Amino acid sequence: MTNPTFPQPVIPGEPFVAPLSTVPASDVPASTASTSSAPTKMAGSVGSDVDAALAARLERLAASRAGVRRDAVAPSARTGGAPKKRRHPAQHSRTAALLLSVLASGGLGVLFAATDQPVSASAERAGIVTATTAPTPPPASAPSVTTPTPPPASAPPVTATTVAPATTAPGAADVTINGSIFTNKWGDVQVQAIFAPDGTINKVTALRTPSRDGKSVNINNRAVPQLNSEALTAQSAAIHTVSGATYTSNDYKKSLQSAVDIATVNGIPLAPAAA
Amino acid sequence: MYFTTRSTGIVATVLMVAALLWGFLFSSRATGKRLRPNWWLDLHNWLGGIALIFTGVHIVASVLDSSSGIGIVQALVPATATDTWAITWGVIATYITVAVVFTSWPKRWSNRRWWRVVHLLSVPGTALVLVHAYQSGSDSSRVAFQVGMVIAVAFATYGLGLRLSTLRRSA
Repeated sequence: MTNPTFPQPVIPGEPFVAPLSTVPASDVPASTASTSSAPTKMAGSVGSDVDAALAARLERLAASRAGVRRDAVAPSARTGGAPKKRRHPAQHSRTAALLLSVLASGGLGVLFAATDQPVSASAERAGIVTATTAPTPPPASAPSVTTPTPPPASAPPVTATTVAPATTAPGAADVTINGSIFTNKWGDVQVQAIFAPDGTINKVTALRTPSRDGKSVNINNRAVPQLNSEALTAQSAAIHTVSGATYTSNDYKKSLQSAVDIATVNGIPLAPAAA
Repeated sequence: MYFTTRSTGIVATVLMVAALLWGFLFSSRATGKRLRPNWWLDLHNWLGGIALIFTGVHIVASVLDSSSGIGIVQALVPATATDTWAITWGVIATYITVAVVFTSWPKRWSNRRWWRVVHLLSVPGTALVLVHAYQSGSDSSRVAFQVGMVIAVAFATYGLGLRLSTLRRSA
């Protein structure tokens, strides 16, 4: 192992004397190795482990002068082991932030599950409630089952509960969907819509309306039928707000819209909105 | 899934605001003397990253939630959800966040000027997140949620004001 050289000032006129550290050990007589002078010892036949320790010490000194942290020095120079993994400056804070986020998510989820109003067994939770199955057509109308024919002019209108066999293909079903519950300062609003297979909204019902006080009840008794009628006419949630029932109207529209969204996501085509 | 969507959405919003505030404090050198600047930068990067992760969980949970009315198309393409603007803001904010996070990794070899432009989009991106949370959040009518929103807006505004004030001084 070669020892690092130190710059030596060259004085003109005087013979240049190489630094003692560059003198190969082989050139140094063995008898001089026993003397106690440090330079001779440095350049002399000192054991390899002393050289290694000295080299490591010199590396650390150089690193500290360069402003490099001791951790960045290759530990193989000191310990001979595997290099240490570099730590992020905010390692602990990162871990704390991640833990806090995960705990907050879990905690909030549990809180919402515990504090949300329980839904009844009649499935007031938003989503598809039922798919009403069409009754099996009688054998006499078997040809119309295999080849659907257009309804006669006197046929009754299709509703959620009755389906004219001559007009409906076997297996088609009306779908009942509950919209999301929206809460305003007067109470909850939730709408249920029944969709025909072609996407037509056959019926709209308000499952929940604010009813904490008599005034709210009176307002909604007047407003909800209007909203239901407008929704059936418009075949969408783009309906007018009922004057005096702004909160109910706004949440009614949102809840109906959410039912339409659920229908769309589940593959029910949207009927064209009425002009 | 419904509760997961709500909780991860709230946490992602908080993380976005925190990342923004940390970035403002770091860039305006208002980090104090107690903690080193590299601590602030490292945590800012981390907060942005986990905000993106929680946003991803929020999106996946809302798609899997059958009662949300949001499918893959509505989650990825703006203006396709029927509740148009509320969801659209969230979709756009997600894309902005993705761009900000993923352009910060190869920062060394990207054009510094363009990196700054993309990174500054995080400010309107956070604003869109807050609007999305208010418009489509199921808890937007709760008092605690509204108070939290006010606090979040206050922190974000403070950070922005601090950064703008140091910008003028340096100019």
